[in-house]
Amino acid sequence: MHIKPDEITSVIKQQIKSYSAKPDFAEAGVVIQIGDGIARVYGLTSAMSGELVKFSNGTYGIALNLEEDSIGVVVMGSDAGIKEGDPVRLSGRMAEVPVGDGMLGRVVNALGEPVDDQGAIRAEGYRPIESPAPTVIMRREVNQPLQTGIKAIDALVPIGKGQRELIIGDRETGKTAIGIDAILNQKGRDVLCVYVAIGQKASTVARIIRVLRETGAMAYTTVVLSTASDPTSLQYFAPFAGCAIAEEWMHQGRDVLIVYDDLSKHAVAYRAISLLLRRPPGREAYPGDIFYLHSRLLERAACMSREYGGGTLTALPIVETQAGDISAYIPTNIISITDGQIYLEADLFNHGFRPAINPGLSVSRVGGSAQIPAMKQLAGPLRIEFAQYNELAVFAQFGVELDQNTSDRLRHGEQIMEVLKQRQYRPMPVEDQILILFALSNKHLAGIKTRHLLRFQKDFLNYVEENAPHIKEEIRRSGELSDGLAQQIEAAIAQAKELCDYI
Amino acid sequence: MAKIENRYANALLELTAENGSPEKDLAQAALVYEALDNPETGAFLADPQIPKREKDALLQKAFSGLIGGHLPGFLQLMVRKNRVGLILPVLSEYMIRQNRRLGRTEAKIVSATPLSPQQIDAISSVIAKQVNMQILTKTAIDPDVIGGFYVLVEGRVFDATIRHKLDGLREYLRKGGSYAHQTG
Repeated sequence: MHIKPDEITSVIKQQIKSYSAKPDFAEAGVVIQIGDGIARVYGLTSAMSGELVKFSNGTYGIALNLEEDSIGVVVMGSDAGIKEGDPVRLSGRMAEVPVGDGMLGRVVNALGEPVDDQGAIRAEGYRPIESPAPTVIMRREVNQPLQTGIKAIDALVPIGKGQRELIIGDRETGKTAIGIDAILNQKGRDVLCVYVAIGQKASTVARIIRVLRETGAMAYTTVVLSTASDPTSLQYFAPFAGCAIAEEWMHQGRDVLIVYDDLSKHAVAYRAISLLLRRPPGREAYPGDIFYLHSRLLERAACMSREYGGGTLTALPIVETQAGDISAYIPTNIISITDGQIYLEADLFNHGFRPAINPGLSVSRVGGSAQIPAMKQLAGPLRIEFAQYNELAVFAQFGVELDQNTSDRLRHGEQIMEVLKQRQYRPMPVEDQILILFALSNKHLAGIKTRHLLRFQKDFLNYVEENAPHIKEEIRRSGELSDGLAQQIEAAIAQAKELCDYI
Repeated sequence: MAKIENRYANALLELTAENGSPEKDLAQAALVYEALDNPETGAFLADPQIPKREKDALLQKAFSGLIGGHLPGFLQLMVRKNRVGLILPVLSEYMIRQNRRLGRTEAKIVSATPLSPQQIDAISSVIAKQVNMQILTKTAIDPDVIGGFYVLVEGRVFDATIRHKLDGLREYLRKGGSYAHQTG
């Protein structure tokens, strides 16, 4: 940050002038106990629940427990330097973060303070981190697609703008990768993104930020960061801060995507705070309001009606399971709050099927209404064929003799599995997805060996790009597959097949 | 839920009002408070193995001739009711409330270096005007405030420390030179 010398001098002059003014006079209490990021403060009888208080070392805190003659305060930062007997003053305002376009391309902490090296944030305003979700009147149904660029998701579990879709799976199954791919795919689509890292390793987040920078995605993205070494209070507030930043854009009528990575660590941070505040523990020692914690956060994702600006806020919360147990406490809570889930399986991941999405356990409750017509037409049968394949595959593994029909279905299923494979950080535009899914569902890939499928996909898409770009243009424009267009695609497939020997 | 010390303090306040000797009662309460406010006496009184009559005898003997009115009765009652641990909180609550009835309040002045009696007088006369009460001063030294002083009185703080000023400056600079969201 460049600070001009006169700027500093003038600031100091101003401070010196105000120094001679009357001493500051504010309502204050006294710290009677401090430790583990929790302070018990005597006095402050007019403190409001959720109000910001300020400690003598300049750190802020939030009043969470209001008791008869003391209040429980969560320290938002380091509690070093705060002593018993120190004054704590009321600020008269709730916790808030800077919002607006000045946040784009920035990495901030849960208080909205910059943690990158790009100087002060030029905030357009401030927004409370806790605010009520849009009401029923303010919303409309989710019906526009939010393309993630991942074939398996856009075809089988489509996400709509304003939807809340959970990404769930064991550790190291590619959950974050899906969130990041979804952000990368918003490039040039006028969707702003917020990535909230909760309790993540700083090295992991540094890698993610580098990917976002290198791909140019940082230009429309804000990263809200609370690493594993940050105080639990900041981990607890990070998703709410990220949501406030995203909400501001939604209320301006823009489309926003927010990824919460991940809410299981958020639940753990909230559990630690609650236990330290001596709130009664419930199941797995989580406090009684752990469900409300996540429901009020995710309820703020919305698709606003036109009278209210028509903005959307799509939320992709991530939850980590232990040994694939999606019936644990936090996963079931969040599954019931969200509009569907993308389930990632360690087995699929280890068998090289990436993204390791299990289409059987993944659902999208908004479903087909958020797909473009062409995709809807192709994806409908795909799901059924895939389910049939899964059933037959279990049966076929016993080595029984199979009739032609069954072995055809098995082969087709294998091809579906192969086509749905996709490399990380390579989101695919929806028109490309439609081209390859068209070839798949019309059995044009039947003659191609499964292991050559991805090579064919690449060659075929390149061929269309070079020789028949109008096909993609037509799909993009109309979103439909007319008979004429279908014939042209078939011709392109036939020609692409001749380019190389895929048998 | 009303706290137990409040109930005992209420009783003492009412007795003082009935007897009409507030200043004398206050001075005696302060004497008892100071005498008992040490860990050894606390440990003796709190020990469950020491019979109540010995605790009672100690208290009566220690304060005989020094305190009169209702205070000896109060100490005896606390021993009998197994509430010896509450003697100090009750007395403290009683003194605060009795002082307030007499238009006095306690102010804690914290400074980086010891203040001269003149400085303390000057500060308390200013504070007295602000809160419209007589001030009983209590001072403390805290080098962390860097310079200046702050006063805690009646649930409010008068802050004139260098630490507070520097904090304001830090926040001002961090926000890129806007006072819009700076807090006092």
